[in-house]
Amino acid sequence: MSKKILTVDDSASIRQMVTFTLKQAGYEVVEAEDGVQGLSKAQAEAPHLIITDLNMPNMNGIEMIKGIRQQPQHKFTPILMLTTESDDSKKAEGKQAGATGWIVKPFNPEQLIKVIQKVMPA
Amino acid sequence: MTRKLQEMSLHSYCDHVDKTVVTKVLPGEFYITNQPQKMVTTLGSCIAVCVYDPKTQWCGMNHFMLPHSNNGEWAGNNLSTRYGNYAMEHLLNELMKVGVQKHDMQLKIYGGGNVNESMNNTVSESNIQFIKSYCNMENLKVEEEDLGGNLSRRIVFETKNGHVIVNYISDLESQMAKQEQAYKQHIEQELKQYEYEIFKQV
Repeated sequence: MSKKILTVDDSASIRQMVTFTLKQAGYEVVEAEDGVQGLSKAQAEAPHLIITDLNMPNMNGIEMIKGIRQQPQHKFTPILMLTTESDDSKKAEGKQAGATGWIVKPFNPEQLIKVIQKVMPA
Repeated sequence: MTRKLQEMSLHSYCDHVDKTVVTKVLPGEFYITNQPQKMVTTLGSCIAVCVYDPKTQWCGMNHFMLPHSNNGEWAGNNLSTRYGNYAMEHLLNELMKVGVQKHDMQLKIYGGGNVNESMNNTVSESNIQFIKSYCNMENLKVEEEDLGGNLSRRIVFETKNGHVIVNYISDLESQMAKQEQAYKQHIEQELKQYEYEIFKQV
């Protein structure tokens, strides 16, 4: 059975690109448009890995990660931040919230898959 | 990487006629402010997007072009589209961070002039296609667009009311060609870099 990945981004074009890349690599993909939706889909869909943007309306990526880490099933689920921010203080905030890794856009599809494989071995 | 200009950066100067601050936005850069001032840029085949939020008075402008992509990948995931998305998202994210809501943003888009004979002729056309489909897909309000043609444009964005003045320039071709060629090489270099960090092994 293929692993399920939840991708959370307010940009429809980014969601489309990430979903395309993940599906090509054989993953099942669930999408969410903001942190609030991401939080509920993390609970309902039980993804094996989560990729999230940082700046989003309603609830940002950091707040969403904190919420997801409260869900017992996601205590150890890998969560990658995919963001335009490369600022060290933002990274530290992400790490503290419970992010597993940080990828700076523009992402390279092959590298994105490599990072996923590193944090979620098959 | 796309650079965010600092307030009153070296690119800023004072307009002696009306005493306002003017900030130049160069290729690959973007700038945001909520102060009444002007932002200017000169475009050949590149695109500039001016964003105005009447509610908060925050404004932003970027200046970008797509790198050439001939890898035959599906159009939604090729190098060009990824870079264009990145250039747009950088600007929109900075505005969202200061409290601008996406649905309040009023966009004006310019450029995509076919001015550069030494570059692939499809560059300006790809830039135009990208920005139109991006705005459509992201459901962004485009209030005004002035794209294509054969002339360079000088754009002046007045942040106090969101007005944009466009001047067409016919004798800048060689200078614009040189500037855009240098910028193109810079993007290609930039896209070879890839930055990530894993905080802890799972």
